[in-house]
Amino acid sequence: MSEVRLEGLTKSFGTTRVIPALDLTIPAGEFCVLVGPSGCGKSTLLRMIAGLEEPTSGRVLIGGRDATGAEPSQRGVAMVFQSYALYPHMTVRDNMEFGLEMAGVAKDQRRALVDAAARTLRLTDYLDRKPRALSGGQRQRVAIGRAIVRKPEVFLFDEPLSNLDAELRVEMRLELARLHRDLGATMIHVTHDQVEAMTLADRIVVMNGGRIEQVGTPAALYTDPDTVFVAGFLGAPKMNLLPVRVTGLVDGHASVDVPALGLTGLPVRLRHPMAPLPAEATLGFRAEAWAEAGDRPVSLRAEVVENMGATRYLYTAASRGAAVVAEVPRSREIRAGQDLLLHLLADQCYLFAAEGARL
Amino acid sequence: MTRPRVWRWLLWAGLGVIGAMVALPFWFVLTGSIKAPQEIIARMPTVIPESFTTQHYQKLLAASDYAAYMANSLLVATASTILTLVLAVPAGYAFFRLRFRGRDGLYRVILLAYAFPSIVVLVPLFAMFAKVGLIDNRFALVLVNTAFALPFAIWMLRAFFAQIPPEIEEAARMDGGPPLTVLRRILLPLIAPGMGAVAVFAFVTSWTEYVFASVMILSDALRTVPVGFAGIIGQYQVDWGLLLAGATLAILPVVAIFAVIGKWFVAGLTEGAVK
Amino acid sequence: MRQGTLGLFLIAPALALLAAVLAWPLLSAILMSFQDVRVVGSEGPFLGLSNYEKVLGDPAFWRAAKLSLVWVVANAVVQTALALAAALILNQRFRGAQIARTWIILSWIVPTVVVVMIWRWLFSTSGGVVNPALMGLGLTDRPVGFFATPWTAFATLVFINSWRWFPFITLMMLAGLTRIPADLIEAARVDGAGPWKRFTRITWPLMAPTMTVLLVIGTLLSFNVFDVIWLLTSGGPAGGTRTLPVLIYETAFRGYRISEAATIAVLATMLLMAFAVFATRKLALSGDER
Repeated sequence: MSEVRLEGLTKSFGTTRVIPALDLTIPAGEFCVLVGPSGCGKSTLLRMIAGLEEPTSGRVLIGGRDATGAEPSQRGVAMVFQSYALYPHMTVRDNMEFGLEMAGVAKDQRRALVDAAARTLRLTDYLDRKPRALSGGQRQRVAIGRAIVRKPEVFLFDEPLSNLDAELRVEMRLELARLHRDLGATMIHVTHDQVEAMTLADRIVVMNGGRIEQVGTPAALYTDPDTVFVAGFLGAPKMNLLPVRVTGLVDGHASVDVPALGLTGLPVRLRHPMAPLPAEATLGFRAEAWAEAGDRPVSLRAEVVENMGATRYLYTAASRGAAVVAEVPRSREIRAGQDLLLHLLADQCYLFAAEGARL
Repeated sequence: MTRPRVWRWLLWAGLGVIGAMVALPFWFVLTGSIKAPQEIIARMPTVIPESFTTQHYQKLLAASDYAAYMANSLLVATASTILTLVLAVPAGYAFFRLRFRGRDGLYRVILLAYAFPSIVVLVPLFAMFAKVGLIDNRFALVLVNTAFALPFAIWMLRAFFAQIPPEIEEAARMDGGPPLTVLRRILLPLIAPGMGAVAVFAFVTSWTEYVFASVMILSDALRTVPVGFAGIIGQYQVDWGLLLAGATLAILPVVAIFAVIGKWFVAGLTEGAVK
Repeated sequence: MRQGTLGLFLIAPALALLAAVLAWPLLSAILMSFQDVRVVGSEGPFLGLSNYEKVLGDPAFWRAAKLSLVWVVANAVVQTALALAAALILNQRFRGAQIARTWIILSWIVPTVVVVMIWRWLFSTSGGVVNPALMGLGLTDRPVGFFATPWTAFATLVFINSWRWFPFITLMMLAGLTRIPADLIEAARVDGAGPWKRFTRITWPLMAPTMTVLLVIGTLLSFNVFDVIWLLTSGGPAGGTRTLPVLIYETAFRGYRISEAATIAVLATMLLMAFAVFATRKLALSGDER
């Protein structure tokens, strides 16, 4: 297992700069997830680490060695593709042996390695089948197996779960987590699904428009977001974001008026109490920031109630952009059209500037 | 599927007409080649032969060097097919996957090769081959046939390479195979139908080529079937039995080959190429 | 660029062959059209454009050009009709469809000499098959001379050439048809559209790009047809089937006027190239890119 370090990495396609200068260090053995919306550059970044794309400038270091410009097979990395990319005309065994054969590994040793990987991934019964005779989940495991046998220093996953159905996705998430625990290898996983990021990652790298918005553990990103983008991206349902007026500063907290909720003087803790405060800002709070008891009552009309089984969510409008979301306490009965009185917990609120930075 | 009887009936009728149109002439040729001469020129042609004789074949093989013609054609067609594949596969790959200056323009120019009458090059080519001593040499035919088959071959193979998902090539890159090995073990098996289509196309156009074969080959021993057959027609103008026997023999090898890899040709054309 | 040099290296052999066998002789022919070459292998004085003046002023050239045009159009019409019908039929599901699709191409894999001989025999006025059939069906009481007059010879040739080529076009049309998503047809059926409506409103419009490509390819192919015409009628009777390729051949090998033949060839090529370039530009043939 090895550390991956990216120094001053940029990528341009023609005249379009997709990734401006980017620095990132992924410690050895970490499960790092690159997450972000489509087009944010996460796949491009992964491919540059893999060696499938050449960076326009900057360096890629794998295990302390400069791998920039090296061929993918020389970097000690293995990649699992979104579409699995299995060789359709070869059996599962041949698929998994191919890389080893190219590396000059002897036949019986190849056999042994593949058998071992097949046992780990429960593929032993399928070794002689061709990919078209396998289900999606099985194919995915073959793709992972192909990566495992090469004993790489770094595993790269390019949205491997995107093509699976919901239930299979959960199963494969657990599989990947178990794999990481067993192998202890450095794993870099690209996804647009924030649930995957939250559940799998040791650390998450949130990307947007080619830039890194924030790097940190899932808990840190969830409870202490740097930008409104990170705050809105992680967590489901999406964080409530309301425009507010800042009326004052008291004891390290900003006093804000929230017109949409009819609240005034809500004290929101500031990360940088010394910095100048703008007059207008964005208030963020999650669906679980409401409580049955407190000192800031707000009457919420439930236009739509989403019953998730274990929890229920109340939406104050049918359109997501205009609605405020609240998690409904278990004890309360609620139906669409009813009003519910809940208290907003000020210490679970965040304040963001207009450009998105956390205040 | 519920479909009105009328349409079903029309389908079978249409199929029958087209099938008959394509197949009937050959049926008459095949049966005619084994009919007694009187039956061939009888006023009412018979669909089911009423006689049987091998005299036409015997006469044909005795009176002419037909066996040699077949051997020559087989040699030239096979060589042309192999050469076409050897040249077109890398070219098809390069035109699709690799970027280089003038690629698209060059590709269009190659396709335009079909845009001029082949007669145009006949005379200059003859003069050129004469200078290098390639006249009366079957290799000259191989070169010509390959050149004529190449644009189609490159076009078709390019389309087939286009169908290979790029991730497969990337996976092969990650597996670290040298380019030739990747080509042989991964890419070629995946474009096999395309290669089959190209092979059939090259073989057929080579087997059926008449004009250049008649001009470039002078000695009878090296003649190919179309030219030899034309000569026989000239010689045995109204011996229909003999001519039908020759026609049958001329058709048999291509039909045999087609029976083996024909479906790849159809698959190649119908799956691969039309954009 | 690594990619660039590898790319050129890979196409070099194919390009070399094409250049040697096609490009160079073509240029040579263009050169010859400016000279006065009579017999193969000889040189001739430089004449400038006088060959072109001569050819363009020769009514035989224009007659051949007109015949070529009619030939191309007639072939296109007949082949397209036959191919479309065949493709629509072969696109259906029925027992033996796979075999039918494989073997419909039978008439194309046969040498043209043989094709010519077969049809000369089938169409012959003494014996043969077509005439006895026509007479037997009562459609005519005397054998029809299919090659007797310029007009009938031309029509018969169009039929024979179409017979040979239409399966090839059929297969390519089949490719286009299979590309039409079955969902669209199903949706139309659910909407209540009958087979004819489904064809005119969905199939035909979606086939339009395919048909255009095939039309271009078909035109190029049929324009250049030489051996079928030559072997059957030698351009007759009375020059009624003397298309441009035939004229070129005759001028070169019967009239021993190589330069003049080259001139006609160059003019014919220019016509064809103009058509091809115009058509391919309209169609944007370079499809997939990476």
